[in-house]
Amino acid sequence: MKTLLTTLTSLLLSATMSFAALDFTSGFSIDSAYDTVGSTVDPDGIAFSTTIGVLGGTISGFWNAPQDASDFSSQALAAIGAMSSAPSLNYTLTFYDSSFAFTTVSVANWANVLSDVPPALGTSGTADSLFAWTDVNAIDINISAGGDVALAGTLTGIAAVPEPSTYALLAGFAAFIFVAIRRRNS
Amino acid sequence: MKTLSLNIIGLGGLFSLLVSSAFAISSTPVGYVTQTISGGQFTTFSLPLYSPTSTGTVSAVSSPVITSSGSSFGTLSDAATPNAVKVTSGSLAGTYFPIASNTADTITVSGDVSSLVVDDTFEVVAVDTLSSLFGDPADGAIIGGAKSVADIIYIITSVGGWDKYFHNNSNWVQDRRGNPNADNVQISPDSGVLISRTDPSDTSFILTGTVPSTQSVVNINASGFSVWPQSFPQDIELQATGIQNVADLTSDDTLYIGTSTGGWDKFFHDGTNWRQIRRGNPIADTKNIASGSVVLLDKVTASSNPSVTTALPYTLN
Repeated sequence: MKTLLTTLTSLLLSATMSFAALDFTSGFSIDSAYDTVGSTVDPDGIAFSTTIGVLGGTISGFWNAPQDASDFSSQALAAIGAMSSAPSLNYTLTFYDSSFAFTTVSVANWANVLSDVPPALGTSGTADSLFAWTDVNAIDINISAGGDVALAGTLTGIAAVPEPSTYALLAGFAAFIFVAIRRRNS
Repeated sequence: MKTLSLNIIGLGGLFSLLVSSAFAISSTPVGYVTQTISGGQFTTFSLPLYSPTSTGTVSAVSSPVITSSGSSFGTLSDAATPNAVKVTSGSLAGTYFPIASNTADTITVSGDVSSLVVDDTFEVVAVDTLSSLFGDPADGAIIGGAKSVADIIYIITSVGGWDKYFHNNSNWVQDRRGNPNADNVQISPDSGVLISRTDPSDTSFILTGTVPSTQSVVNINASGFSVWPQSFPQDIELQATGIQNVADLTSDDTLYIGTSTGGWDKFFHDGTNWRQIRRGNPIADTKNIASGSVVLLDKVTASSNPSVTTALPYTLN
């Protein structure tokens, strides 16, 4: 029975963690035509150290092969990585597919990355109805305007953040399994 | 608004004299102003005149739908020739609302117009687009081509970032992958833009239209950066902008005013006075805010639905 419980727990964790991440550590390049903050790609991901003025900035790059991010289409998203300097500036994410259709995901704050707190970042941004989540080709991380403030860090990728309702569903399922096992044992 | 009319120029010349010599004008004048975009730097740009095409009186409101019985509006929401409602009386006087759709006597707007009441008045105002305002490089004012050489128009977003546009010698396009067509991107009379001109030569625009006759109300972003356009056809002092009255404005919030060399002077409000952010923090209440320019406000503390209300800086009799 313990084995069954362990297996089910693993399945739950697997389900929780199965939301895809778009990876910046390999197969990813900076697009200098659109990147305005001098980003680079190192083994840890996108590295940047810049000063954000009134014109804001853009971290821009592309994958060497199309990415399947269909898990993202109905999930909140978060930039993951580490920040050495994260002022209270916002960012949005714009994804492009290979035909240049795009979708923009609404705003989050760099402090979320620094504190490792999933931001309240919805997927209700400006969506191009033709955008294909299965064919994600490039990304712009658009940084809002700032007053000459330092922004530095390394981003390893973009991850889907399950909605609270998803966690609640998983927790409910776990409770159901637990009760079922208890009853069977008794 | 860009189209030049000799008749309007004549009236505009008269208006210029009236405004510069006395702030009492006998009727709502029309005219023109000349806006200069400086070469080799950033220029802030807003619209000191506007283009009302018809008027209406509210007979019923069910936000976002305004009914004006007896009106006979034509199509007001065409992508290439968009319009907005400018409220001219009542609690929303001076506020613009983009028109999403309309019938002959109803207008559906973007925004909350539930504060309108019966008998409030409004104007239907033509809204410029990148194409209608800045035209084509062939006109000789804007430089097009690759983005490395073209004039770049910066339009602020609702989250305090910037969307960038340039003319590629065929169309206005957005500076993003795929360069989508941006001919019909709107530049509302209550907004402003930044223009980056790489070419060292200055260029000028003649803008025609009607002199504003109501206070100005500009909605700004809840936090972060916003644009506030100085959309009156005469210079005003910083203390007359009304920005100091924005909800939850604190001394941590920063106001950016463009300099003649494309840089920025920074200011804050200490609760009593505007002060420049520099050694000694001198009082700057009388700092000149040029007609047709834009200031940027970086608001640290979020507030819901903030707006800037600016009293009419002249008298129209």
